[in-house]
Amino acid sequence: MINPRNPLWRYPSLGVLMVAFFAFLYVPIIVLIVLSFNQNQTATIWTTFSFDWYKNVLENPNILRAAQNSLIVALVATVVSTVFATMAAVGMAGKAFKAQNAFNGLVGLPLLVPEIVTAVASLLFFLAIGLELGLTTVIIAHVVFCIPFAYLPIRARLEGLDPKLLEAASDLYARPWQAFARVTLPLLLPGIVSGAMLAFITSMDDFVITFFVAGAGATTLPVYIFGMIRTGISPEVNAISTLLFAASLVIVMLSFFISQKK
Amino acid sequence: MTALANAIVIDNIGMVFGAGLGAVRALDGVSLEIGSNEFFTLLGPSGCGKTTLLRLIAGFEQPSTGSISLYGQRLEGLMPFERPVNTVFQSYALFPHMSVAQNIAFGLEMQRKPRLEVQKIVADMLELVQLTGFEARKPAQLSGGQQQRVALARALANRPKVLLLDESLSALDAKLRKEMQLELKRLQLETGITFVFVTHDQEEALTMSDRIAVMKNGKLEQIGTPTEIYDFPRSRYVADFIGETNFLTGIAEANGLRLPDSQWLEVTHSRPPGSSVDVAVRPERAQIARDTNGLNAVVREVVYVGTDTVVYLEIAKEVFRVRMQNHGGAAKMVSVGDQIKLVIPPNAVRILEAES
Ligand SMILES: Nc1ncnc2c1ncn2[C@@H]1O[C@H](COP(=O)(O)OP(=O)(O)OP(=O)(O)O)[C@@H](O)[C@H]1O
Ligand SMILES: [Mg+2]
Repeated sequence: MINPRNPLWRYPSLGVLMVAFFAFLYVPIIVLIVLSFNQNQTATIWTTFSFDWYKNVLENPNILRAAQNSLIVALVATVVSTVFATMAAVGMAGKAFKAQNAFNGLVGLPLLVPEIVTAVASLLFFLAIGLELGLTTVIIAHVVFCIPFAYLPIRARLEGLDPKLLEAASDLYARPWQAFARVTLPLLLPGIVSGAMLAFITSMDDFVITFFVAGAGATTLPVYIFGMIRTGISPEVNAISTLLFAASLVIVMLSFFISQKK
Repeated sequence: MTALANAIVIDNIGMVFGAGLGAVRALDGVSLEIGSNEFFTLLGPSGCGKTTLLRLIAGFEQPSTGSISLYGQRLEGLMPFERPVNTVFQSYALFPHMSVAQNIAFGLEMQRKPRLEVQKIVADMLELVQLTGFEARKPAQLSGGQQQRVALARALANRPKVLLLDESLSALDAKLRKEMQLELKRLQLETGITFVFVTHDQEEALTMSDRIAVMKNGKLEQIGTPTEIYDFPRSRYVADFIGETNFLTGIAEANGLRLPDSQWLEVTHSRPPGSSVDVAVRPERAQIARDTNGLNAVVREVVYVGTDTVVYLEIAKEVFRVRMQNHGGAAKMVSVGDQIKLVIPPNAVRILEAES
């Protein structure tokens, strides 16, 4: 460990950089949140405090439909991708080391591929097999790109699992599925929950792929916000964005607390 | 049903981990018969294959060659949960998310025992391992010795036909270990369970076992009762591993050996004259005297160890230990530097097999 009082580890100019970094990261978000409570029409000049824009948002049927779409897509994608990811992680656990590495590489690769490539490829694929663009295609695409996000924490948790525990369960007359239900699954749970939350956030947040594969009726929140911005920044956008930000914050904190347990 | 006298028959088991240059031969041609209700101990240094043999019996690994039968039934292809065998793991392997009581109940629940019966057995087991009151604790909230006792209770709760114990008392303090040793012996007599016990503690092996198998590099070196192993070690390896031993090497002549310093050690043997012979003598079987016939030796050190005194002698350039009981007062006679006579009765000398 580096002693915090050790003068060898002082680099004075780094402090300035750090302040700049945090400023660029958080000041825009703070401004956004503050302005979402601004009564003024022009989104950038402060007058008085009000909940008007939130009221507008919650009364706008298009926004509500987009939010509903986003939630449906995110929930389905989270559940399905987490189940797949869990099965994949558990299924691969007993395989040879090389096979595991190859598999991990293949599952993780989409995280490194530029999203636009996946987006175009998905669109071409759906067109090629003749699937009509709509909520279904969005859900399929989201399930697929959420799997690596769900897989990573589950797999990390699985690697920390003592294989002797499964042997002990088997020694104590548990059949493979009983051992899975009584020992593996409970011990994997923190990993599964944080995987699911990552998948949920990723799905809620996705713009590029959704923009490509969503049909006319399948607009999600990020896509809708993008549409609003094109006609000028309205304070409504500030309000929705603030709501999204608050929701993400809650999920991230939940996931953090769950993964802290044990 | 005398045909069932053998609980476990291990027939020419070989076990190789890995392949090619990295292959490790963990077991090599091991054949054993373990009697029903026997307390059988596998004894040997770290890495000699004790755990591997237990894992083969439990069914966690498949042998590379050979076969294992349990009460006449071949175990090939039977999964661990199909074998009437329970294991106390060297690393305990307690389920960390379950309480002590849930851990102990696990095997019973998997066998669908009625709830009331499970509760009763769990309570009995907790009492047996002296952990009553700890049922709600998680394994992480227990000391190493307590965890080991939970592991023991979890396996014993199932009343298996065969109980495999992998260094299962090693984490206990001396007093508790003695108590658990007695408990295990009592259980063995009461329940008819066959115990296969792994240890590298020779004293524990001698006190608890009906028979001991001493292992070396994946092979069996000697099998016998504690007395046989202690009094008649076959090789230098066994003699060295079990108890304290003195070794002497001499050239065979009729009715004795000529030691390197030309002194004469009387012993009956059947080795050809002129061959080099290793012998072992237990420290308590030799005596120190002054005015008798014996081997000339010099006292190098006198160590008082409570009930006994151990005298370190130098003879034929080797160290030779003599252990004397203190109540006779004999130990007071010697002090460092004394020239004394070392008396080794011919029947205390064990001829050891030539090392291969
Ligand atoms: N899964 C495995 N893969 C490769 N080699 C192994 C494996 N398990 C055991 N071995 C090797 O087999 C040999 C015997 O191991 P084993 O665990 O049976 O020893 P042990 O007698 O139980 O030792 P200890 O007293 O240290 O527990 C060792 O050389 C070990 O390195
Ligand atoms: Mg071992």
